[in-house]
Amino acid sequence: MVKVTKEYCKQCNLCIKLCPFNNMEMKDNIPVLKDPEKCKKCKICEKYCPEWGLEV
Amino acid sequence: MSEKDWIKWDRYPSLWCGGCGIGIMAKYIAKAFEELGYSKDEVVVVSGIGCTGRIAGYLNVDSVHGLHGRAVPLAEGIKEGNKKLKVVVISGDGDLLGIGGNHLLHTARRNVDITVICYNNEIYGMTGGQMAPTTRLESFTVTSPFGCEYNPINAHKLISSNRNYFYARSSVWHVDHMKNVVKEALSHDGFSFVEVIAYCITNNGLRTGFKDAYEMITTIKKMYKPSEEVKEETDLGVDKSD
Amino acid sequence: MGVRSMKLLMGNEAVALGALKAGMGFYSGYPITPASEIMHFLAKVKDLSFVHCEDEIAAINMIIGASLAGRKTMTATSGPGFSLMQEGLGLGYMAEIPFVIVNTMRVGPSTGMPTLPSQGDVSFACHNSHGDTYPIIFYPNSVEECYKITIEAFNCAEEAKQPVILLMDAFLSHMYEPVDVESINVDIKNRDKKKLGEGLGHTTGLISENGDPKTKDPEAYKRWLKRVKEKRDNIVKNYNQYEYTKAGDKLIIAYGVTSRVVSDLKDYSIFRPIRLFPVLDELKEIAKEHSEIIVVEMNDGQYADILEKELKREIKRVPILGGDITLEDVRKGLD
Repeated sequence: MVKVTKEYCKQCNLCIKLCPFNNMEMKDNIPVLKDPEKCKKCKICEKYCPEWGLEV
Repeated sequence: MSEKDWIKWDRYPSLWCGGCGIGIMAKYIAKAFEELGYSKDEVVVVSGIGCTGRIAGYLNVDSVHGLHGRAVPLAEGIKEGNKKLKVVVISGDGDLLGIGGNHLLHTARRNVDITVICYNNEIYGMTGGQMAPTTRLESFTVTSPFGCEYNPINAHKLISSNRNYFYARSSVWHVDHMKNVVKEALSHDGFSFVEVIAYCITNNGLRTGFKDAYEMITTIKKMYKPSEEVKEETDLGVDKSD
Repeated sequence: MGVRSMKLLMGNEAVALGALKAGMGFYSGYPITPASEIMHFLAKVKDLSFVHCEDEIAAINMIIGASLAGRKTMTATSGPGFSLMQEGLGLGYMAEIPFVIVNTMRVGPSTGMPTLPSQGDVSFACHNSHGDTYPIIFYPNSVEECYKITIEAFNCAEEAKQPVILLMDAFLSHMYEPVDVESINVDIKNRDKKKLGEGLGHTTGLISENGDPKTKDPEAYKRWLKRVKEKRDNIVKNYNQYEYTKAGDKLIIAYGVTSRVVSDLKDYSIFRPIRLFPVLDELKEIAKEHSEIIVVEMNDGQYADILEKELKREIKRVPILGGDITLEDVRKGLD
């Protein structure tokens, strides 16, 4: 599960492009998991979110 | 305290451009403070002018957003005023190595017990992408439209030219490495300088052929490697006097 | 008290002793004639934290930092160094940070005549820093006043929570006079401002309210301007030191060491502002009683210009230039 604080997201796409499993996409301006099961909780998206607005 | 308590969330989202590495650095500096077990009232963050300069306003500690190039003497004054404070300067390459260069030389030479963290994106970003002292030879900026004619300054050699020195180099990609060298710098007794290799997408990357922050951060990932000794300019690690 | 506690002091030493008496806890400075001896005296004070730094820009930013950390702070310089301190002064005004800057003047501009006295930075000091600022300036005229007025300058800085300028000249800096230091007791104002590490919050050179930058809010700027202007005007009411002797309807205005030369002219009223800026209300009143006003000063009419604007009347100038002053020069200038 990936929790995003909507107001902090600037659609910079770092999380989406850095996800090793290409398992994230932008949906009405916030990143969401394409397939929650495939999320390995590697937390790369959380690590590189500049606004600290994304938590796995 | 938790690591998130080190940020003024009422001030977020930050003013930094989407994808900018300063926010990443801010997060890992907050984690460093937390892991060192600091209390909020013993840390003072001082910053100069520039995009990184705004970081003092986002960290949930007593802080000073000072004059361009003068964060280091201001921080030295704070330390002299109250030795118990842990004084951390966080600013950009233009602020610290450009206009602030002379102060950095002398505060480092005096081995004042403060930590200076330099977000080095090799450009004056806030003011629109001008050449910085760290801009590489032949790279294009708004003030070196035909390619920069100078070699960049070498912060490592400047800092390590002192009898007593602590120099660390990390990057906004190697975040855990960055957090650890920041912790080591904060714990160092004497002057410590941490150079964080970073990027500016809006006022440098886009104009020089990068599509987005992802391309810039992954370029850093490829170019820089943690290593035991800081020999090459692409080595990440710590170099300190004995 | 009395003769035994008399000390023969140099002006610069008196400033240093006054600063210590006022409770100064940190000094940072850079050598410059004619101010260096202030730093030499303070370097020998054991429990005073002190840094001889790399330039005057570092000096003022260090005393800003130490002031925010809770210490009373000062630096001393001369014209060239004072020029380098302008941005730091602006930060002091913007973020309402108390500290004292001593500018002991030599002949300028540029390197000028480093060992010769002048009063050539008066206009510059009255309009220091870029932007709208509201300076407070004192100017002693004896070694005893160097001691006493330094204490007043610290008190005023603490009350007004802003930088205060102590102007002097090379004469005052380097002359020796006996001073009974123990007999001078001025009550010392304590610091009443939070310090770093005690929830001072965010201090910034940007326009801000409660540490939150308001860089695109004209109203926030106007609120700031109104507050700091009123604060300055309010606080200086407690600091209206001057000397006045009435004699005839021609008024000579002179300050600093020039006033000691002028004091021999018995057929003129003589007014000596010790608080040079803002212009004293008492001076405005006294000026009305005189048909002619003459300012004798060691520059080309800088205070005269300021007074002409304040008093809205013509003012005669007797400029004493080139770093030397004699009564004959003044007499020649008067007739």
